[in-house]
Amino acid sequence: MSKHLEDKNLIARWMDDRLSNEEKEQLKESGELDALKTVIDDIDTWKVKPFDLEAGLAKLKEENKTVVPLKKSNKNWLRIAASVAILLSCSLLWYFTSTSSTTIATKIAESKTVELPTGSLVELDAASSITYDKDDWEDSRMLTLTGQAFFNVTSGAPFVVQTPTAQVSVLGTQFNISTQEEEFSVYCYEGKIEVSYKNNSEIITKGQSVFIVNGKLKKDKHQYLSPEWMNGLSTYDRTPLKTVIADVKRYYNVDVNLPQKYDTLQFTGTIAHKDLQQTLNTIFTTMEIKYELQEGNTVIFE
Amino acid sequence: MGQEPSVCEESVYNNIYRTHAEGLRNYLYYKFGDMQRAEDIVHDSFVKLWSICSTVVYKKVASFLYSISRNLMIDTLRNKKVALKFEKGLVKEQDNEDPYFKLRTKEFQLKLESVISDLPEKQREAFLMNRIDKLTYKEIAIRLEVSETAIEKRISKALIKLNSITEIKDFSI
Repeated sequence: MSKHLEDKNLIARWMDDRLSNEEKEQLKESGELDALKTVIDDIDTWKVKPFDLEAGLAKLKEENKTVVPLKKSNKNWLRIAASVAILLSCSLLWYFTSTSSTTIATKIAESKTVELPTGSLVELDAASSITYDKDDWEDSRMLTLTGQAFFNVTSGAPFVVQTPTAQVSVLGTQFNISTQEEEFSVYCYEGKIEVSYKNNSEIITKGQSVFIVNGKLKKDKHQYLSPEWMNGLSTYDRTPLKTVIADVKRYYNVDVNLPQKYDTLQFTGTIAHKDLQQTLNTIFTTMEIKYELQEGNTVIFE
Repeated sequence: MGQEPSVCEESVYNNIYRTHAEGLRNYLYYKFGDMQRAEDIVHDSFVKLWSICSTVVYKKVASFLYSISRNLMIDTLRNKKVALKFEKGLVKEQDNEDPYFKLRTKEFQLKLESVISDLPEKQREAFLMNRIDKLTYKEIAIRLEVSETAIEKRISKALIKLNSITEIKDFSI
């Protein structure tokens, strides 16, 4: 009946006064939208309940007095990340009550490949998760990530990854995001992405990466064609032992209670994700720390 | 990159409220049909914004507000039937020579209100944000983080539906 009106969104453009002269003439002659014009003109006079802006602002001011905003402080960005993670998981709870909300998570020592509704791929590393709304997906590709994942994104609607620390916006590309407790990093392997953290953002392309150092975004170069962890490896360069052990606990089901005095020792080297003995050996022997791997997968120290 | 305004600064925060609060409330009302809940959610979203203000990038504030407020609307409201109510202008004097006089009656206005309320959620919200809030297709696309073409498509579908009830021969109260 009126198929031609939907073609190329003609009827929406008609209402927006964005028709070509030819299209305008055709509609004027057929008169098929004259009645609708009368109706739209009427709807244009309708009003919704008035909004009391100043009253709303005053009410907010009152309530915000009891809310302490997280301060921007270099020393405290870890605390900020943790608090945002809590708040984020609160909003995730509401997300869970939505029937179209989808969460995919990996356990320790597990990795998973996820195909998103419009063909983008996500490789989830161990102890990580993504959550998204599958009904909204075609129009707005927004998901939340905890842990680490590699993304291969098809072009289409804006693709946004929200992590407890920062936001990453994408334009059809391949990249890796790691959001561990002490470190946040994004590596780009293809295409172009934008990373937003606090009041700054950086755009990076193939061969570039972004880290958060002292509460600020820092750009760097890299030589990788794909993430190392997908090849079962992790490379460290003067990384605090605490962080290395945190990774070991994700890839292996092992209990390691590293004595605090060793936390900040720096480790440089590569470990594999497949052999626990070898990994422990690599880490501790080079650092000359005596350890013992007991039955039941517990590591103890002197 | 230049220094962006800080959301934690009171004047910036207040300005964000002045710019976005009303539009956000209307959007939630059009979407879920509950005015009181919409106003409560706007308030809660802004409280949340204040508490994590140091982690929200200024230029992403609108998308933050819209997505967090969607998350805060309780699921039970999602499938509830929506019955929107608008304040309408005075009905013009009945003029029998006007070929469209049937479209200007109070009865038809109520039918229109009901048909709009019955539109699929996404079509309804886009149409009303354009007609009642006077936002351009582009502005709507930015707030909802979809393409402008997607908005055009939704509005087209809404208009086809409205057009079908304004056709005089199909008209019946």
